[in-house]
Amino acid sequence: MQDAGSDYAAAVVSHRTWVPPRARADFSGYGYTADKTLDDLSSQISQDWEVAHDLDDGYPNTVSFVSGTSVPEFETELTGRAPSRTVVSAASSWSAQVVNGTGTGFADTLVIPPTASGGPRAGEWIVVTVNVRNVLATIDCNDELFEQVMSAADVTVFTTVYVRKVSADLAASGASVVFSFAGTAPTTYTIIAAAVGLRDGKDQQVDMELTTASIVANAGVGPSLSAPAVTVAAAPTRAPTEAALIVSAFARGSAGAANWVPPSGDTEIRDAVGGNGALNVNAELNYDPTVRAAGSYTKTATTGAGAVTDATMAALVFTAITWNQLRGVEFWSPLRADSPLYGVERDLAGFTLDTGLVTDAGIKYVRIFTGQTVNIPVKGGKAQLKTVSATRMKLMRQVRPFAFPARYAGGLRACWPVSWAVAQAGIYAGPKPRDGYTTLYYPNHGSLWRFHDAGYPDGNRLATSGIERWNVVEIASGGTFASGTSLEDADWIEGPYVTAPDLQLRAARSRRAYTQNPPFDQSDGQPAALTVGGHKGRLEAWVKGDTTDWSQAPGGSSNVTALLKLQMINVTNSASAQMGLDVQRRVYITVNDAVTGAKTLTGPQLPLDGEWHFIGAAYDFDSDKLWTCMDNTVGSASASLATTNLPNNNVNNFDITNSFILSYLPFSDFTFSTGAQANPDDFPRWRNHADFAPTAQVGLSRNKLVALCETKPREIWEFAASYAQSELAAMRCDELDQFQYLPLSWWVKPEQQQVSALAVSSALNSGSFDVDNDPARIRNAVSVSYSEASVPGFTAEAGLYRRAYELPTNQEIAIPPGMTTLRVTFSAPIVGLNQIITAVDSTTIPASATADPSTSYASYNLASDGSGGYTTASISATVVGWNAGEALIQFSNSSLFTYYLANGVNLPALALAGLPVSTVQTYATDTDLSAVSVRRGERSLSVSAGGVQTSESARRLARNLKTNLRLPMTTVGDDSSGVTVVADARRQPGDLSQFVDTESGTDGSLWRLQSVRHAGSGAAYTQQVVARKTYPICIVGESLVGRSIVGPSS
Amino acid sequence: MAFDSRIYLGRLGQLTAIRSPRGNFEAPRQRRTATFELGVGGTAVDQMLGGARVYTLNYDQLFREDWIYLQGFLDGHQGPGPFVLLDPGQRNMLPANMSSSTSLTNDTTNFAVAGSGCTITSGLVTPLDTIGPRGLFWNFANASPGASAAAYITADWPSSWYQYGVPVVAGRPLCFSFTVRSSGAVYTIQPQIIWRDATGSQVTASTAGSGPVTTSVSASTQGYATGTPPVGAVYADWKINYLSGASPGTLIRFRQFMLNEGTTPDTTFAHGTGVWPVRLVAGPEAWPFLSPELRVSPTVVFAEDVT
Repeated sequence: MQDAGSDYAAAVVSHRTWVPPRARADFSGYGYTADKTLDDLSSQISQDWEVAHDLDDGYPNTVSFVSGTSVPEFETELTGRAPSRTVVSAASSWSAQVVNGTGTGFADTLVIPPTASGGPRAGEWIVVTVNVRNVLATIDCNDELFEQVMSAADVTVFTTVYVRKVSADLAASGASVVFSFAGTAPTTYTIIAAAVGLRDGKDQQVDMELTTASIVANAGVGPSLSAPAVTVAAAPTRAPTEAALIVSAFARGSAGAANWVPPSGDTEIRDAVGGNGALNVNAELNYDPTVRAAGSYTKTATTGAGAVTDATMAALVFTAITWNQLRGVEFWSPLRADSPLYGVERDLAGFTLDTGLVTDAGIKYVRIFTGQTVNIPVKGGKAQLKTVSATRMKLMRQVRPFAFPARYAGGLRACWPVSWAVAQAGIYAGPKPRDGYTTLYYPNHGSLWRFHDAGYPDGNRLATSGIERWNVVEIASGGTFASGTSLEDADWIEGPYVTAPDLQLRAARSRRAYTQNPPFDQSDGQPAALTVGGHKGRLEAWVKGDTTDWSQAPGGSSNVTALLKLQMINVTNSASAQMGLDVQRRVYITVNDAVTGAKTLTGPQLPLDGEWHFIGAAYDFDSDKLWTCMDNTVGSASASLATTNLPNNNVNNFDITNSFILSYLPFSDFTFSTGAQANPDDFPRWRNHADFAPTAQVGLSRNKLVALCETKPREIWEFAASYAQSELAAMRCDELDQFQYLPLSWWVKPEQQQVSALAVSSALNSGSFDVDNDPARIRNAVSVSYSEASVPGFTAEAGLYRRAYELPTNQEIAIPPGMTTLRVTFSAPIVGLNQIITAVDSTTIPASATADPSTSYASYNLASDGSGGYTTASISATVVGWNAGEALIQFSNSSLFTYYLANGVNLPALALAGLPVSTVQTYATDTDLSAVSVRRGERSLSVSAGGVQTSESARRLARNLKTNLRLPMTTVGDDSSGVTVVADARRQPGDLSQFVDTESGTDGSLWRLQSVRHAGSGAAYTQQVVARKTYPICIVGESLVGRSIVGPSS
Repeated sequence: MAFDSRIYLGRLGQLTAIRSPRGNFEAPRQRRTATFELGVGGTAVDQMLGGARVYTLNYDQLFREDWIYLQGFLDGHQGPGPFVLLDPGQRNMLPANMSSSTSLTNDTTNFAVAGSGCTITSGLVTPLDTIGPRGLFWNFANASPGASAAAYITADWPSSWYQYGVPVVAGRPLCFSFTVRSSGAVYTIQPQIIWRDATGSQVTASTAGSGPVTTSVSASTQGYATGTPPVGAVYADWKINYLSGASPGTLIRFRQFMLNEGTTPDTTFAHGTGVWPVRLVAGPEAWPFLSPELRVSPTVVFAEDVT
């Protein structure tokens, strides 16, 4: 149930005075700006509308096994009215920051903090002028909303104008806007940032866009310079009837050069003088709010007596987004060039629908739909607004998950591929990572395997030594540290968001998880973590405050160096960074720059409350500072940190034997970030801030997987749905368009047992009940067909790998001098690959081929039939990419001859070893043998579970289906229609509600809402609800088993 | 009391009086309701917040010049609209939540406030009376809310088309009034009507009327401003400026906002539902035997566009 406050509840009961639904779109792509223009569709939607939210939990309907997924849609008619026309009366500006400086190869930043008084507001534009005596190398902004850069250079002055639209009020966003600049050569520079906006007669902001931008170099020699002529586009195209002209003028002058005088009639926004002596740079921003009509404008700026040489000038025209009066269809027709929507994509605008109710505390709105437009066809003199869940649209993308076995990842539950897949679409079941800065991302959502692709093709590691894996080691009391038992499955518990590995450090038993040489990700431009070029890092994670007995640790406390740790140590010296929780449960960070020694900062202890807590640690060599964070307590300390002895290259310079992640406590949503966002002073919000709030709910899955081995890309929604169907999880997008994947375990949580205040009663708020106890739905024998999977394990005889590919002996592959690439397809999917491809000859090939299936090899022969000479030195083979279905191998032939993949012993000339996944098509059945079922006879249901890999999961699915289908399932309403109730917008599928109807004998028992369909028709705002009888949660030993949801189990 | 009983119709800023019908001028306001039949037989009733009027002018006959003017709106010669229809039967031209001093929505929708430490809220008034349940409360958090020009309450007009006020007829005087009472301190405030052009820019302001109003903590006082729309005025907007008396934690309570035609407040307060754009939706045309200069029994229907 959504929370709209007690006033809302009282108003629903007392009078229900509804307000027309509030419909907001985002055609501009910059968010809803409340500018009473294009994006406000409230006044346009028809009185008739409908939104359906279903909770399809995968139980079959009468005849078929349904998808287990639900996608809300909203559709209505639009009157087609043109929104009101806003008239520009004035322009406003925000006088912002100035940075001046002189330097060699300068690098500087201009920061607009969120606390800037009267700072940029949503819809305004920030204009940045950068004026450099010499060349500006780069300019960038941390908020890549929209930007345009134009540059011009004359002999000595290089000028760049950079504009970007402000998406949200800076004060409300809480984040700084940071512009970073870098130049070359000895230089002097002046940087000005200002924001400009257009206002109507009552000082209300008018949405505006940049319509013209031009810049000219060496505009003249002072003291009188002319800006380039700019042309305001002619009406009626988007009717730019109102505009403001921004002129930027710059010049280099001698010492003491006087300020520019604004062009006649213009207002000065900001003026600055930078540099010194002959390198003075003078810059100014002016605007002319009086420009109104289409036409050509020329601006002249004048300097004072300082006499100026070398100048550039730029002109920007911002136009109010207004339009001529249009009627109905004219406005929405995609063919009308004078419509503000002309040329605007109609399937991308965000859309929300809120229903409003008058309450004692004023009008309260409750959101009942969030999505995006998919089309607005004009039909029958009206426009049809069609929208759908935006999340569903995002999940149309195809992905192929990494290939790995469960045993190298501390186990694998189905929630991992679900969470990973939706994350590929930017939807996160845990706190979001720092986009573009996260270099390690281990959310632990059902597996310890990483979410980041580390820059590998298909995300699968390329390495000729070692194998990527997580180790889970358990030591019992009295055991030695070296003799711990390796576990293939860590056991998974409920996490702060999804799950976490069940780790511990108790006197009776320790269970730790660690991985060596975690692959750092720099593929998205993330800076390095600990090199001369990049030396900022920030760890953020959630840790469970379980009791720890460090001093009595099995295997000896001296072997336990931390409860949770990320460690990086340079291979050549003592330069290192490590951070996490020390053995005294304190959050800590230690950094050694290999110059001045180790610096350590410790923070608060992890509480002993068994609850989840956020921890963070960060370092920045540039700021000479360390930070720690425990929940909301941030500590910091200055520490002199030199970069001189850090590695020159990237993180691969770390010694892999000393670079690892370790934990003795359940932990989740672990990230390590580098670069600008690693500095908590510049980015003070840690990932426990609401800014990083999850956008999906994924519950702990009981479906154990053996491996992930998708050979082909799959649509995310379909991929996740296959797992939902395989464990009867409900998969939907909710009223806020948050993705939900709710396995059965979700419904036994205590918070799901809270009874909603929104009872359904035929005496108070409901029409006649439609109660069904349909015996036709009964299924008392369930058969689940699935592919049982297995991955070979290490044996002394066979080693780690098995033969995964053999080149057919009748296939002729030539390897001419130079590079040759060969794509090979595996007959069975693989989850590991031996990437050391040994070159063999007629002497060694028999042994490799027959006695050691764990080896990858290739034989190169001068003759295609293998009758020629071999080479083992002239050709090298490298795996440059692989996934579960295929591998890409690159051969480098340094000889002058063409060789062939061939040999004279009639054995495969190319063989690859890996971890092939064996699958067997099989099934599990469960039949009810109760007396009533025997009397009914067998009524079977066959389902195919594509997301099941083990007999345990198949049997569980069959049992769950049988248990819930062997007796009639009582429902109020049915699949196609529900009981009509007086609307309460807070009602949601999944709510546990009381249903009362004396006529049908519904006695106030508890029912779970399966469907809530909102329908509006003027003042008639009703809902159709479908509910299913809810049985008690079973506490084994106290309840009847067979008709109850059984609580969590692993 | 003499009312200007003429009906004005036209484009914004170009209004003219039209012929009054000999038949009834029907102006019902439809506020949609829905009844819901409960399973046990009773009914639950829902309603919408707002409503819209449909104006029906039943003429016996019209001369051609009168009809031609109306036909311009019907057939599009006056442009696509929407148009202004000033119904003299609706004396209070302010929208419902404004005239009811927040009693419609229970919040400050359609009002705006400026001034340091100033906020507005919707509050229940005591003692209870028959006027309405709520008032607009202007709350002061500090003793210096700003200069008189900087601390004020004003309207936030609900129409998406008439954003800057109530459409006016040049030369037709209007009077803006309210009752006021304060709590915790005695205030002096100044009402005024602001005349705005089509862009929303102020043309002039009228402060004649009650002049500065000194509030009482024990009784209601009426304040009003009156004036005649100057040339160039298209909208009448209102503003109540703070002049003196602010004390932290005290407030001013407003009720019975009204904008009526004339130079003084009507002695009887009238509820307002606002002046909304209208469209001419029907106007059957027929002329009698051998009298093509006439139009017989035309019934002209306008519908309010309440958006």
